[in-house]
Amino acid sequence: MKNNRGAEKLMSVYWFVILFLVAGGIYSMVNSFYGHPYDVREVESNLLSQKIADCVSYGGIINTEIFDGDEFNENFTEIFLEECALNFQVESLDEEYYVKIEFFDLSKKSLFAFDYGNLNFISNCILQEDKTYETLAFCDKNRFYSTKNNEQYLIEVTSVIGKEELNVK
Amino acid sequence: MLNKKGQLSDAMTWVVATVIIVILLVVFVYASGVLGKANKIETGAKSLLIDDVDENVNYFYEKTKIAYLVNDENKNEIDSWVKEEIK
Repeated sequence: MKNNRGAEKLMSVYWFVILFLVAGGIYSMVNSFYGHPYDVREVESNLLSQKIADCVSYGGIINTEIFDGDEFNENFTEIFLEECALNFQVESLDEEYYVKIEFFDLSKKSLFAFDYGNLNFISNCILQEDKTYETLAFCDKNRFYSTKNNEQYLIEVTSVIGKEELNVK
Repeated sequence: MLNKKGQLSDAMTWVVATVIIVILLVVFVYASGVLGKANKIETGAKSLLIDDVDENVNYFYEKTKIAYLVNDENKNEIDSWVKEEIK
């Protein structure tokens, strides 16, 4: 009478092969799903722009610290972070932020501008028009209007967030 | 008389099962990879979401509207510049 003990031993080896195959599949599924970080830079840059906009202009009136008479107060660049309650320090040693605030008159002529942060991000805003480069620093521009002593100013706020390693993979 | 047909059909069953398992694993790994890449948080963040308001409100345009309360001269020019799509 023949028995199937040899076949049963072969089946147990097969079961282990299937076990490791499925375990490997589950591991790769979890790794590919959770291995990519979330890109929150759009939200972060918009929040940064809003905070700067509130610092530059509140209640429709431009912050008096920005002007020295009718001219731009050069010292404002030095007190910018403190005045706007911003902290650009991050875990990495690199600067991960860049902001630029530009003032225009009604003829769209640029009156003055000041910027702060990593100047290397300036070129990213131009490159980002091409989708191929969307893994570069995230660039966001916003415009609004404000006044000072009945004079009218158009203001453009540019905020750029780096942090590619944390947000893009 | 030896008869091995039963064992052969067992093996064929498991071959088919293995193929199905492998195909399903490949499909699920591919799907999880596709879903994993779709993780850019896009909230339409230029808009405020306010309860009881049907439309989203643009934060920066609202600052402009507040400034109009102070001085609303040249409103059309200002509006066109503010709403212009920025590249």
